[in-house]
Amino acid sequence: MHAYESEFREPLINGMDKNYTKITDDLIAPVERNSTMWWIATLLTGAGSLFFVFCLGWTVWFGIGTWGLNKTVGWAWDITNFVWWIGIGHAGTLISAILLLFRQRYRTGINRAAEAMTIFAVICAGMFPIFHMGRVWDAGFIFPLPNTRGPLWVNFNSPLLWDVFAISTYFSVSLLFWYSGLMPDFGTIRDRAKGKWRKYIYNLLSFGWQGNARQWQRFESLSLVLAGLSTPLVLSVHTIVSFDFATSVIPGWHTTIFPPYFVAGAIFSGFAMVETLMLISRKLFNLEDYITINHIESMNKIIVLTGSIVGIAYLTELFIAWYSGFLYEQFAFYNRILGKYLWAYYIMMGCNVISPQFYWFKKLRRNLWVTFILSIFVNIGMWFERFVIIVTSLADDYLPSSWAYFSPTWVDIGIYTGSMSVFLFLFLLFSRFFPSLAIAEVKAIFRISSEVAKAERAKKEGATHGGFVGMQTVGPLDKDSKGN
Amino acid sequence: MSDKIYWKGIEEKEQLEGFRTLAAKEFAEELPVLSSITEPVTTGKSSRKDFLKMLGFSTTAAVIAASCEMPLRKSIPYVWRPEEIAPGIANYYASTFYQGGDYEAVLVKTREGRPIKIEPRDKQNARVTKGGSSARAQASILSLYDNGRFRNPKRGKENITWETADKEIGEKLKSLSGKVVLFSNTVISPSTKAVIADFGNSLGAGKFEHLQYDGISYAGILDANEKSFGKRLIPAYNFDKATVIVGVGADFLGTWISPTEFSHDYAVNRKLSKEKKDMSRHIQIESVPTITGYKADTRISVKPSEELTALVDLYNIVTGGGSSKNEKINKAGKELLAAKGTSLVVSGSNDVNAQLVANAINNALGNYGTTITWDRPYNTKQGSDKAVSTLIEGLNSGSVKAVLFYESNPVYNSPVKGLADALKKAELTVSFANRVDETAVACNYVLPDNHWLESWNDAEPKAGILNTTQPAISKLFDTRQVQETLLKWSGKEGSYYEFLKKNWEANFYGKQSTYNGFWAFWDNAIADGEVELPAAGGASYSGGDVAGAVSAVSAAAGALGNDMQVKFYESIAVGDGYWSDNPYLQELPDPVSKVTWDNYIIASPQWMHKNGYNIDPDFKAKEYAVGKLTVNGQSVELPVVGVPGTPEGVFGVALGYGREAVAHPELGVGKNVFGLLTAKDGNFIDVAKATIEKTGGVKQVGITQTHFNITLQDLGGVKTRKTVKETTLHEYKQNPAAGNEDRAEILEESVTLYPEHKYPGHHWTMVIDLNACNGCGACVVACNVENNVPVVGKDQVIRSREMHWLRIDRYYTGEADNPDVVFQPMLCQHCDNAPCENVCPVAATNHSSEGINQMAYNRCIGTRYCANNCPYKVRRFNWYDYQEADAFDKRYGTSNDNHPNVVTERFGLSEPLTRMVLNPDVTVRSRGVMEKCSFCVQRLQGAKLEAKKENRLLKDGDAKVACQTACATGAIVFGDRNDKAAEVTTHFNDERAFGVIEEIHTMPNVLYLTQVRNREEEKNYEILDYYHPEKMEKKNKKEKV
Repeated sequence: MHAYESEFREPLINGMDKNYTKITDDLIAPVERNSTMWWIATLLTGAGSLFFVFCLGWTVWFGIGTWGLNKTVGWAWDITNFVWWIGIGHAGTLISAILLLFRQRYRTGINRAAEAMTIFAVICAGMFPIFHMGRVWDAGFIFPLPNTRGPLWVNFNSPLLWDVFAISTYFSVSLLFWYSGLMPDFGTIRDRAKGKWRKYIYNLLSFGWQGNARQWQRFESLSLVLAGLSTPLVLSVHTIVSFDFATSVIPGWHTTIFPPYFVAGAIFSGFAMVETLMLISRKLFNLEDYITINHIESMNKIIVLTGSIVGIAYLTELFIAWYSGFLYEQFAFYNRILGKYLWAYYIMMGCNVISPQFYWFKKLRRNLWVTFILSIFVNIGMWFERFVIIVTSLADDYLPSSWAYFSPTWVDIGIYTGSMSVFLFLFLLFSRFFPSLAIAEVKAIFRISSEVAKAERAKKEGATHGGFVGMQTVGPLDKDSKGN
Repeated sequence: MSDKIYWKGIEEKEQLEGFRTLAAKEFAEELPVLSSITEPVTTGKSSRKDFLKMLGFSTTAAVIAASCEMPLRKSIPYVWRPEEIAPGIANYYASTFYQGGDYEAVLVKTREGRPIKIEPRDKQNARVTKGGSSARAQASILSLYDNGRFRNPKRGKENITWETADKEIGEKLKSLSGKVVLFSNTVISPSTKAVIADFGNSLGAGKFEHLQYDGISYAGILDANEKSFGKRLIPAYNFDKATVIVGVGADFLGTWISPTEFSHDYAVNRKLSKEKKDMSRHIQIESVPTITGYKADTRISVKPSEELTALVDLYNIVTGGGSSKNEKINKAGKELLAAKGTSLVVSGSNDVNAQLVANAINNALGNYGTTITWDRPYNTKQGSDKAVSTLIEGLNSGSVKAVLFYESNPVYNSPVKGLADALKKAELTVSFANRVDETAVACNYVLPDNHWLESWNDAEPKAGILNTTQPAISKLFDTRQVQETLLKWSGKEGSYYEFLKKNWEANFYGKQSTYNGFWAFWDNAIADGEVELPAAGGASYSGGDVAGAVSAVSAAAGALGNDMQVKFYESIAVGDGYWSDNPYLQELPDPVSKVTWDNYIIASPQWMHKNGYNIDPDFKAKEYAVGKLTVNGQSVELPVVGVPGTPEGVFGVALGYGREAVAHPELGVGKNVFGLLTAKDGNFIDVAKATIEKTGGVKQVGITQTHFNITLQDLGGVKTRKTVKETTLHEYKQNPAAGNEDRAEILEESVTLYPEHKYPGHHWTMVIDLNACNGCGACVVACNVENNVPVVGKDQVIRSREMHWLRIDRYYTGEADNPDVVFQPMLCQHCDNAPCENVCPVAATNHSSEGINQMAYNRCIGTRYCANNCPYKVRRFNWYDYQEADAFDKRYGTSNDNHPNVVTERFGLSEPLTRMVLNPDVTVRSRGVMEKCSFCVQRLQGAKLEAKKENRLLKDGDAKVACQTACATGAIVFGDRNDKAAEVTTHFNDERAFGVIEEIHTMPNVLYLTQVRNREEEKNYEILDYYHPEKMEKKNKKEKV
């Protein structure tokens, strides 16, 4: 990778004690170390995951009637959770694909965890469209499979079917991307492994990674190809999810602004979730040198950008509703602001539009506590955004005679909180057994953007070149990938 | 490639005649198999060999089919197939419904010998109910399969045999020292009356008495007529002949005397068309709102005491002796005077004096002989309110030693207390009830009567109109018809059927001249269900003490005071409580309040607002504040529900709820308020002075339609949803499209780029006349029964999960304290451009070539996307296994703060006995699938097959949907729009026709005809907002001119 970086840029790897061996040691440490905290967290979230399974079992055993839905509100927490999780799953691909193509080096510190998060979030998301079905045992009907039932075929007009394709594609590509990136690092773990079985398993996981030039060349090509493939997916998945609503006739759903608005919202919530998780793991796993305040600031900039896009979208919706002159549309938005669900609307507005505006201030942008709290606010806000769109639009639509109110039951709440447990449980397993930072990729920027490299360059060339650094060539990370 | 044609022989090249006919056939020779199927072996061409071939083939086929493992369901084969029963083909038997005081001419639809539906008889054989039906008659089919039915005779709680019962009771009857009383509701069967008379004679002179008591009392009008006409009967009211109708507290479209008949007659004069541009004028003076008042052109909202003074005022006006303080009543009086001879005044009061005044008014107007006739008076109401007191006195004094209860439940539905205790003094108490009730619980013996669908009987609802009841099914349980029991006890031989026939031969055959020979007469009577004998006589008005009555009425009104008053009314669903064990009726939303499964205190929203009651329920849980209503020292605590149109300080409570002896506790919802009725001159008066206080408690109410804020008033003026459209008669006469002017523009803008569906055959369409619909709910129940729509229970209704495919939406407009109301039956609109169809991922809902939006239940995976995207919200989801279509858990597994129960047991249509009511032509939907109105596709297919069998085209009227057949007013018209001559096509093209929210281009196949009100002034048309009462009051001030 050819690279040039201004000396004015902050390093992405801090600490003057860093070298390739030290990086390997630091980043693999969580995988090689036993931790009581981890066991406690894993057991807790594992129990939560079992409760998730119990709630799903309860739903299947007794029926969807155990949820709070009614004749008017046919979707509520189920699809809210689905869209929320899918949105969270957006950051991973954006970081690994679009930031890769744009050569944003700060992605190396966060891409692995973000991609893992994507995978887990999509797994959680996928549960909802499956289990919200009244007859989940017939879920296979949504696949266009040749069958013996005569000319029965799926309905390609239905956005729900598009969802099936969009999400399964997204999941497969994300999984592939994530896993292929993991292979060199699995090689590193294998090479350092003590036990026979550990060595054997990580060897299997690494697909026998050797770290030779041919493999690196193919690895780099695959990364680029997958990045190219998944870039449109970042935009398409949430666009298609938004079609679930945009193609309907329900006021508050039927709007053309949804695709960009949903994509921006998804990136917004995805980055917030990455921040929540990374702020915890950089502390727990002593990765402050690799996930620097610089990383966090960069993400906060994206949050304030996407948050503002979302805010503009909210205001545009209101304006268009007024401008349309269409009673039902006007009423839907009147109802959002002043109707029976107004509390949800103001939680959404406060968390999504107002709270990220604090990031205009550099001081707040670089404050870890502010970042942590706002990241949670954003995710609360984004959950309410989907709730507001789905439930308030359905609860009061065209005919006043059918209007109704939705309140959740314990099963609704259990499934939602359970899905968060599943997510965290999977993330904990990931952080214990898989390297949660891309070791190879972090090493790739060591020569460019580490404090050590910058100091060396300043010493060597600073006097003659007046602070500017010329082109530098960094070769493939040959020996260190074997963990020497 | 060459274009050469090859031929195999000269006959092909020359295309000879014989070759062509052969080549056109799939098989060159006739297939013997076909003929052996279609023709009898003896007459057809098929040989014995063919028969053996067929036999071999079918045996093999059967063996192969049988070798597949099939779940074994219990089924009982016919050993000898009854001649008239073909599996899969329904049979209809003419019969007569007379239950709980309601009469209806019906056809019983049976499938494989099992009654599954009650249909109204055609008009020519239904001279009273005229082809209409009521919610109660429709729902009554369920009582045949009621779990609360007694399955054998009982002594106390012990099961006994009929022999034992006959022996024990026979001995007791002989040894009794006192009188035997047969206590029943009004008996309209002449043969039953003969049986009762014979039974009385067999006991000896002075030892028997027959007392008739009706829970919903008409004693006032009966007694008044006895005074005015010398006949304790109710004359026929001819609403179709009346041009000006004034109803004073009489809910004649909903519950009063013969509502099905009156709804039909009333609608005759309310329908408009190109040819008939005039309609009757209806003024209703009432306190507690009823559907009759809501349908009136002018509704004068008064207190119950003012209902009485209104009668006096009207009397004074029509006799030229005064006026009313209420301008509207003055105007009504003038209109009545202008329509002398074609006007009609009816009063619902049970006060004899009020009815005497009403009679005097009608007499002064010259209505007797025109709109009120005495040639065929009603027999359906004969009860005396004194019956219960008489019985109690007899029991307490020891003169009555035995009581037999037949179709009567006075322990529950009598205001007189102490009957249950007095019954303990009798030596013999017998209840003939066929399902559990309070009186049966208080009796020594329960000797269950057959259900009417298992019985032979007759009925004479109006003088000279004779009806027959024939059994449609063999007895389900070890029951015996009351008449047989009485015949046996009076020592007569032979069955009741024989008795009935002999009675007809002796008493009725001679009075007719149509049939020669009794058997022809009898067979036709059974087949048609009805025979009309010449009308007998009349009655002449003799006045009576009208002046005394007038002052008595004024005094009664004064006694009610000027403060808070309560009126106890009969609900359309449960009547006097006879129907409150019927789940279909419990789940029928009350047309006025839209509440199911409960009774409650009706109050004025304005009053509630001022007194701190929540007008709208807490929409999260449908919780209403509970009020304690006290009448004469007795109180009842019920939730207070606001009903617009109720005057401030007036309350209404429905009778018939709070039954204690019912098969399932959930059927006993509500409170019994019969005890709160007051007796006056021996009759029970339904109005009283009352006080009310807030208890501080709240109660959840299963209301299906609430009134949230539905107008947009704050963003640049008022904008209204044009869900319903209406106009006045004056406007209509000038422009038939009045009120519907915007439709032309909507249709003009309704364009699409996409290809539209083609309908080469039929294009099914429904048009509903909002002017004729009175919201009674018969169609809702008919739809439930026809289409196996599950009853879900109160808890599920509170969760807004009622399953009704057809609901009746109710909208208010006009003045806030006395609004106009529009009832709008809402069902699947079968949109030609249906939003539900394109969103289903598995194409489970799709469009038929006949314009029906159809559901493939087997394909449905239950994403509910279609229901979300339905702008009419008519799709219903099976949240649970409501009808036990699958082997799922039989309980509801949920709870939240409002429902602490984690799992509750289900009842109703998931019970094996009750499930016998299911229509085998309609799939029973399993858990997790979506369902909705199918336009009764099974009926359409049936009609098409009939036409095909007869080798003809389908005629208009061949295919009728269930809601349409049940509708007494004929508001629902259904047919094929491709048939230019069809009635529905005319309506479809009517200027009054409009579709609901057509502007979103759904192209509905259900259109509505605008409501037309016959009055001069036009109020601003706007759907009212009861969610913000402060705004409502402000607006109200502005609007009152």
